[in-house]
Parts: sequence; structure tokens; C-alpha cells
Amino acid sequence: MTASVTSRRSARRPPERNVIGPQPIGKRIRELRHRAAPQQVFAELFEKRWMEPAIPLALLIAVIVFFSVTTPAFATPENLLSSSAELAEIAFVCVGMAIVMISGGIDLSVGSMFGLCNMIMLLLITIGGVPVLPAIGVTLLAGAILGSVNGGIVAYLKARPFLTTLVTLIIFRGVLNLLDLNFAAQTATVFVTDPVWEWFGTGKVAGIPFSFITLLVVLLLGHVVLSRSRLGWHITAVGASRRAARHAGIRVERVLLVSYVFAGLLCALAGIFYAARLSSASARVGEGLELNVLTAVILGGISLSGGKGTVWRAFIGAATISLLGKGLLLMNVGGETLQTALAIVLIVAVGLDIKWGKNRGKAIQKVYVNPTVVEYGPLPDVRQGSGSPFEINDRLRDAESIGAGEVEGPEDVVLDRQGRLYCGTRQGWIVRFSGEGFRHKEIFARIGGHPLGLGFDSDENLIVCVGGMGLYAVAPDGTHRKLSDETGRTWTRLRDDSRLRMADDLDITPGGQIYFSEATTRFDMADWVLDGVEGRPNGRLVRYDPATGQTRTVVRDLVFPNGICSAHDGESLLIAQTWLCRILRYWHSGPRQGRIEVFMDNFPGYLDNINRSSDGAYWVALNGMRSPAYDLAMRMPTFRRRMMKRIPRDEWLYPSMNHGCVVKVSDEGEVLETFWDPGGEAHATITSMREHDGYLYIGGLENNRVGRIKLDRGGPRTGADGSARTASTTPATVS
Amino acid sequence: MPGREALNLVREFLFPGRHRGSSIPPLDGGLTPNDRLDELEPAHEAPVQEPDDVVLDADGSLLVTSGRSLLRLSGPRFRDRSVVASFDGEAGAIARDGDGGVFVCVAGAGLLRVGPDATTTVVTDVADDGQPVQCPTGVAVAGDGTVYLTDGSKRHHGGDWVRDLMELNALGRLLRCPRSGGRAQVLADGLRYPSGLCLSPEEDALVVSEAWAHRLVRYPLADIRSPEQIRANLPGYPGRIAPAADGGYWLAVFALRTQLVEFVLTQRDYVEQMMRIIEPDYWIRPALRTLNSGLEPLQGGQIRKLGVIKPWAPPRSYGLVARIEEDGHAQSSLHSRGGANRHGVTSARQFGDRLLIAARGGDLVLESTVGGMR
Repeated sequence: MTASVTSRRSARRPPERNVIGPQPIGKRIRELRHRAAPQQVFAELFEKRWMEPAIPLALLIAVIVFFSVTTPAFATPENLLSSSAELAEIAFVCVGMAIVMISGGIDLSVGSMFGLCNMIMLLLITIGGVPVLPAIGVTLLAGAILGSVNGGIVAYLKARPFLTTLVTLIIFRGVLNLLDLNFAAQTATVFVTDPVWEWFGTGKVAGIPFSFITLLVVLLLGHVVLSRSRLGWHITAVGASRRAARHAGIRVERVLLVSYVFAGLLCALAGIFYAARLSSASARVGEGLELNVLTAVILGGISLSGGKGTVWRAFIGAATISLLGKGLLLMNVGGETLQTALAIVLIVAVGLDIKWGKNRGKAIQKVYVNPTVVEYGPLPDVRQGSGSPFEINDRLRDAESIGAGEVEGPEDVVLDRQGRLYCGTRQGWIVRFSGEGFRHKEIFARIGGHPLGLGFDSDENLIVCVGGMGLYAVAPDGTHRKLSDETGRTWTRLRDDSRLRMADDLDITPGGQIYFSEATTRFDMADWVLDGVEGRPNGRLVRYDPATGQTRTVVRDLVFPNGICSAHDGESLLIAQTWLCRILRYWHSGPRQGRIEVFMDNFPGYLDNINRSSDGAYWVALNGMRSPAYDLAMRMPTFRRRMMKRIPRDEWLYPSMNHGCVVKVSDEGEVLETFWDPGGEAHATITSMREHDGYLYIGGLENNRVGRIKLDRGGPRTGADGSARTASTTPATVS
Repeated sequence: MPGREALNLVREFLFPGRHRGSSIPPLDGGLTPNDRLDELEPAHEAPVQEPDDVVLDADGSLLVTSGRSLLRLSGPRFRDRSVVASFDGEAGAIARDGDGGVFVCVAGAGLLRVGPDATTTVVTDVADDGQPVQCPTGVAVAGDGTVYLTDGSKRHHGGDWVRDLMELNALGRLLRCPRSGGRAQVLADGLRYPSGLCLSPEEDALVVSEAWAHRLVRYPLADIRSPEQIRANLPGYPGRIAPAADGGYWLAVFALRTQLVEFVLTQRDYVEQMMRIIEPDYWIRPALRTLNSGLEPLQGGQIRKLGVIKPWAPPRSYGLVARIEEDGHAQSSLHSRGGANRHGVTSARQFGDRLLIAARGGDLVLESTVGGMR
């Protein structure tokens, strides 16, 4: 343990990595380069739901920037304001179309409904002489009825939406033509002097057209309804899978009807604003609108197959189309070439967006794990005859087995005052063995997640770290309750890491505070190896205060903190870091409070749990050995990244977890003795050990038994004995 | 390099699942895994250290190469053993000569002949291109007395074969020399570790296994310059090949290809460092035996779960003997899978209806009756 002696500097923050001797500048730069993780930022950013419309939004921004640069008249306030009024009208229709598409349908009749409502509005206030406000109400009602015609046919007559709305498109257009034929003279130009009417046509709030303000309100409402209300969820569910929605008890027909009625209503609203702005009706209003709207909505990234989309995406699509049209108009290009070019841009954008939608998850998955450089000191020789303190022996070979074949994955073991043995299993149980030879097995508690670290508090409650769930307490009668499942969020990280993802091991200080490690905040229990491949400081030390019930992160940015042990001095904790093969010491109270130093490093294997021994030393479990090939791979992050991508996980190079041992180390950080099971026949992947009454109990994450060996002494070992052993091994360790 | 990686990333994103990569065929059809190798009785009682090749002598005793010597096992259950000859290098392939002598391939020395009186003579140790023959891997004697042999590599020999794999060498040769000895004539050069050969039953062609190319190639004797591939992309590294009595061949596959090794072979920076700083026993490599040491690299599927290593675990070492038809298709096979230890089969030869198998990784010579193979 030479390195630990030289590098025994204490600091407030944990040393992020193993530092081996003086480093040349080139190596430092290489390490820094690998510490930065742009791919990780990318992955975490695009994992956010609000990044879904990234490509449509990028296109919209590109359109705005392009026209702002090339066309001087585009970026003027007047133009933008006048555009926003037109934009609002098309956006209403787009939102209506979007809702129908999210519900799994399509509405081709939006253009006709828009035109018809425009006509109805104008007829009502001219020929009908209806006051403006009631006329608006009636027009909206008319829109709803038109929509319900579509919806009724689609939902209750089970007609195909495409054909149905194609037919209603023609019918509504026919009605519009008929009305236009009879009333063309009255509606060609309309003069109404009504403040409400004028407000609808030209009214501005803080310089922004009233129609646009209304649009914002509709968007907000639409967003809340779609994403927060029961109806919205039903619409999405029906669109995603109609059969599953029906099986879930959703009234599919009604939901479909409602979504078409929404479309009708929004078309009517658009028609009203159009009527008020232009005060002119003709049979041609809204002709071909459905194609524009459809393009906009698809461009916004709303899936044609339903179940996916937001009102914002509809708006982004509408804005892109509308600004594109406006910009082209201003550029005065009749040039078909440019239009074709833009059409190609649209196709590319839509293609990219579809790819994006399909592959986003995969892309995130591919870049989520970001290996970095992990350096180790020279591998201590463990081979027989090497004379090193870690020399392999077969002291675990004759371990008695408890519950062989009856437990699966006892990560940690603990004994209560009556000498009963507790261990967690991968089924989510805590199993208790008692009686002579521990032959009596019972299920003590069923918590749900895989129980990892165990420990008794002063009231004989069993405190448990449960993988994927958090910190739990099990009362002596077997009832469990949650102590904590979240801690403070790290605001500098994109990912929300407030939930406890992998609480791993715990210990309780003499003051009653529960300290536990969260091995990694980025990966789930089943993916622990990914954290190893990554080798980044993703874990943290967390404290739970039973008095106040508060959870606080004490030390963040630790590389896989695994075992936690309250040191014999009562003021510090030992933190075993698996992938760095070292133990940290952290002072939680006393004069050195808050300081961290490396207690021991460069173990020949990966550390797991750590516990106090009865004679003032510590037991440390090594769950695997460092193989030279893996050590080399840890120095080569790009190699690990490629390996992860190219070959399946069962073929990956893993830490050598079939061979482990138990090491006893002194309070001064010296290796006292080791217990090996060469070949790992009975005890592969040793993750824990617990000393109790002259016996050592051994648990393993992948094992099917708990082992027990008698320690070669009666009571607690005397200090003299311990120091004698220390003396004999010291020359080999400090060299 | 980062630019190319970025480009690959974009390409992967746009067209996922469309990357070309080597694919190792699954063990399927005639190569479907079984435990037949583990079920066989050993032919002898005490273990034979690393038997490399085995032939049945005319008197019913077994001639086995083991380490640097040629052993004769005889008596009931081959209880008696005697050293016929000792050499300066590792002894490998054996072929019986008509007059009671045997040809023995000795690493670093060339092709040797041990006469009936146990005198050792060098048959050939250099080829006509001036390069010494240091890595003889297989030998076959034709009826007309011509001796054909494969030379695995000009650079490495014996236990260093794995270096030849890691360096992706193509330094092997196919040679011919008269029985009386002399310089060997190079029939083919630039082969990727030819590891065994045999004559077709009509003696009109040679069948050569090329280990690093995972294939079997047929060289017609009439036109040796135009070889034809009879089986490509084997799931393992083919080793010695011997004729089967009713047509076809016995192929000893001394290790299986794993995706990890295939991947590592493409990562030259890793391979170079690994070869420089790590002992060969602990490389990521195919091996003839598993040392069951924590210093060996471990693959994900090899983790001992609930006390068991899964038989499907990616094999560092494996035992496989395949019965290959003349067109290269596997008809049947004997396996020793993960968790067992009859691995690293270097030879399988049929004599009458007896099949003798040298499992070098398991320190065993196994015997099977061919009738039981069906």
C-alpha cells in the first residue's frame, strides 16, 4: 500500500481517480479529454421529453434566420405582426388536425369546414342580422356540428377517417358553393361597424394581434388538456392503440367523436378570425388548406399513425409553413427552382424527423455510457508463492454452507442479538435462518427490490438498502416502512438524480445517523456493469437522519461507492470504491469533519462491503479480481466504448468476478490476512462478510448460499496477536 | 480518427443495424452442442500431460506426442507407457511411415523421423525458399512416399501460436518433400496458419485447414496452384484433419471463435499493448485450457451464477471434434462445453472403427467407437 502512504492528503472533495505518481502533461491532457463527456451531455439532453421536437424546431429557427438574413423586409415588426395574424388562423386549424391525428384519425375536411364557417359567420351578421357575439357562438356551434358529423361517421359507423373526411370535404364544399351561389352579392364585401367585430379583425393587445393572443390561450389550454387531463390521455391512448384503449375501458367512440368536434370547433374559430380580418366570403376560401395543414402538422412531427404529438409541435409546423410562405412572397421569387429547393428541404426535414423519432431511443442508448480513463497501480501479485500479503490460499474452501440452494443472491448478511442470520435475496425477500446449524428458514420480510446492505439500529430495526427502491426499515415483527427514496437533486446535472437508484450499503454511526452509499445514479441495478465500463464518478454518499427524517447528500461524485463502514474512532466512515479498488476515509464529525482521504488503495480486486471486526480491524470483501486484460481495458476508454457497441453484453470483457476473497485490514491500513476460495467453487463474487461470535459469515451477489467459517481463535482477537500479524506482513506491503 | 467515429455515429443513427461485421456462425446443424466428449471414457488410466497427437501403431499400442517426447502407451487399458524418443522442441503431429517408423513434427526443429529402432533423423528443416521449417503442424504421407506437411508460421512456433493469431499473420506454407528427406518444396505460401492436412481418399488432393482463416481448402495434386475452398467461416479454429473411413474427414477444432476475440483482433492498439505488458496466459485469446484463475479475462456470460457456470458461456477453451463430409458440411460432432474440461482437442484420428481423440487441454486421450457416432 505504498501509494496510500504517499498520497495521504486530505481534501474536501473526493479524488476523482487513482493518481499514480507524477503525471506527464500529455497524460494529464488525455485524462482531461476523457473526463469531459460531450456524448453524455448529448444523451442526457435528448433523453428529455421536451427535446422531442428538436428537428422541427431547428428547421423553424433555420427558416427564420434564413429569411432574416436574405430578406430585409422579413424581420421587420410590421411584417412579423401581420404574419402572426395569418399564422394564428392556420395554426388553429393545425391544432385541430393535430388532435384528430393524435387520436389516430385524419381530417381532410378542415379546409371546407374553415371556408363554410367563414361563410356562415358572414351570412349571420349580414343577412341574418344577428349581433356579433351570438353570431360567433352560433358559428362555433356550427363548426362543432360539422366536426361531429365527421366524428359520428368515423366513430359510430366505423368508417375510415380518410374516406369519410374526403367525402365530407366534398359535401361541405358543395354546401359552401351553394351558399356562395345564392348569397355571393351580399357576402363579397361586408361592412359591419361593431366594436367586437373590429376587435376580432384588427384588435391588438400590447401590439400583438388579438387572434395570436387567442392562439396562445388555445395552445396553453390544448397543452393542458392533452398532457394533463383524463380526456387528453384518452385521446393519446386511443391513437396509440385503439384495441388496448378499449381493453383498458376507454370509451373509444366517444373519444373519437370528441376529437373531431375539437377539430370542427377550431376550424370555426379560424373561420371567424378570417371573416373578421378580411370581411369577405367566397367559395374558394380554404381550398387546398387541408394539404398545407397536413404538411405543417407532419413537419411538426406529429405521427400519422397516431398516439404521438403535442399542440406545440402543431404550432411549430404551422409557423414553419406560414413563415416560409411569407418569406418566399417577400423575396419575390416566382422562381420555381427555389420553391423546389425548399420542398426538398421539407422532405429532408420530415425524413430526418421520422428517423429521429424512430432512432432517438437507440441513439441515446448508444451514447449514454461514456467510458473514461481509469488507472490502477501495479497489480499486486496474488499467486501462490508470491509472498505478497494477498497470496491466494484455500481458507474458504471448507466453509460450511448455510441455506445452499435456498437463497438466491444474498448480497449482504447480518446477524441479530439472538444470533439469527438475515440475508436479502434477488426475489426481493429478506430471509432469516435460525436454529441449530441455521436449518430453519423463513421469509422475514418481502420488500420488493433486491435488498443489498443490511444493518441493525439500536432498536433492533433492520435497516435495508433496497436496490431500485431506497432505504427501508424492517421492524422486529417483519413489517417494513420506507425511510427514504430521494435526496437533493444535483442542479449542475441535466438528469434529475434526486431519486435513489441504487442504494447499496449502509452503516449507522454511534450518533444514530444512517449513512448509505448510492453506488450509481446513472444505471439501474441490473446494469451495474455499465457503470464499471464507464468508470465515472456517478455515485454518492447519502445520510439519513432518523430524528428528522431528512435525507442529504454528503459526498457526491464518487466512483461506485459500495461498502460503508463506521470506523472504530466513531468520527469517520470508510467508503469502499469498487471500480477504483480503494478505500476512502471520510470524517463526518470531530475536528477533521468534512475531510476525505485515501485510506488504502491498489487492491488486487474490486471492493464490495466493508465491516468492523471484533478486534479493531476491518473486514473487506473483494467481489472479483483485477485481471491484467481488464486493467488494460480500463486505461483505454475508446476500446471499451467500441466493445460495448459491437458485441453483446454476455461477450463483454467483465471484471473477473468469479474469484473473490475476504481481506482483513488494520485500522492503519495494512493487510492482516486473506481468505480465498480459489476457483470460486463455493464462493464466487463475494460481496459481503460479517463477523459474529467467532465466526465469519460470507454472502455473494450471485451465489446460492451463505458461507460460514470459524475464525481461528476463541473470543475477540487480542491486540497483540493482531499487531504480530501486522508486523509479519508489513515488510511486504511497505516497500 | 474522432472525425471518422463521429461520421460512423451519424451513419449509425440514420441507418441503424446496417453495419457489416464479421459474424461467427452459431453452432448449428451437425455442430449442435452436446456433451458427448465429456461422456467418453478415457483410453488410458493416468493422465497424459498435454497429448498433442495420437496414432494407433500396428501392434495395437498408442503413439502419443506429449510435451517434448513421443510416448508409447500399451498393455491393457494402456497402463504401460514408455518414452520412444525425446526432442529439443515440442512434439506435435505424427504420421506412421510404412516401414514401422513415424514422422514427428517438432517445433523449432522441423520434420523428424523416428525409425523402428528409435533412431531420430531430420527429414526436412528448411524449404527451398531458404526459410527454415520451424512450425510443422501437420504431416501426411502419400502412397508413393511423398511427404506433405504444413508449416504454420515462419515467425512463431509451438506454444507461441497465439502470438501468430494476435499478429494476424499469414506466414504459413504448404510443403512437400520426398520420404528420404532434403529441402522441402513450397507448394503454397502466405497461408493463415495452416494447422493440419490430410490426403483425400483417392490421394488426388490435399485438404488443408487454415486456422486463422477458419476454413478448409482443397489443393488438387494435379493442379496445386488452383485450390478451392470447401468450407469457409467455421465457428472455431480448425486444427488437424484426418480421413474418416467412409469418406469425409474428422476435424479437430482446437478452440472456438468468440466475439470478444474477433473484436479484440480488430483493435490493434489494444492488442499491441496486451502483447507487450501481459503474460500470454492472461491475454484475451482462445486457449486450449481454462486456468480457472482470476487473472484470466472474464466475459459477461462466464460469471458463475448460483454456483454454476453456464454451458453456453462464451468459451475461452472448448472441446470440439467434427465429422465433416467431403463437401465441407458438418455431419455430426462431439463437444465439451463451458464448465467441463475436455477442451483443446488437437487431434482426432480414426483407425478401423476406433476414433482416438487427443484432448490437450484435458490431459487425456479419449477413445470412441465410430459406430456410436451415428
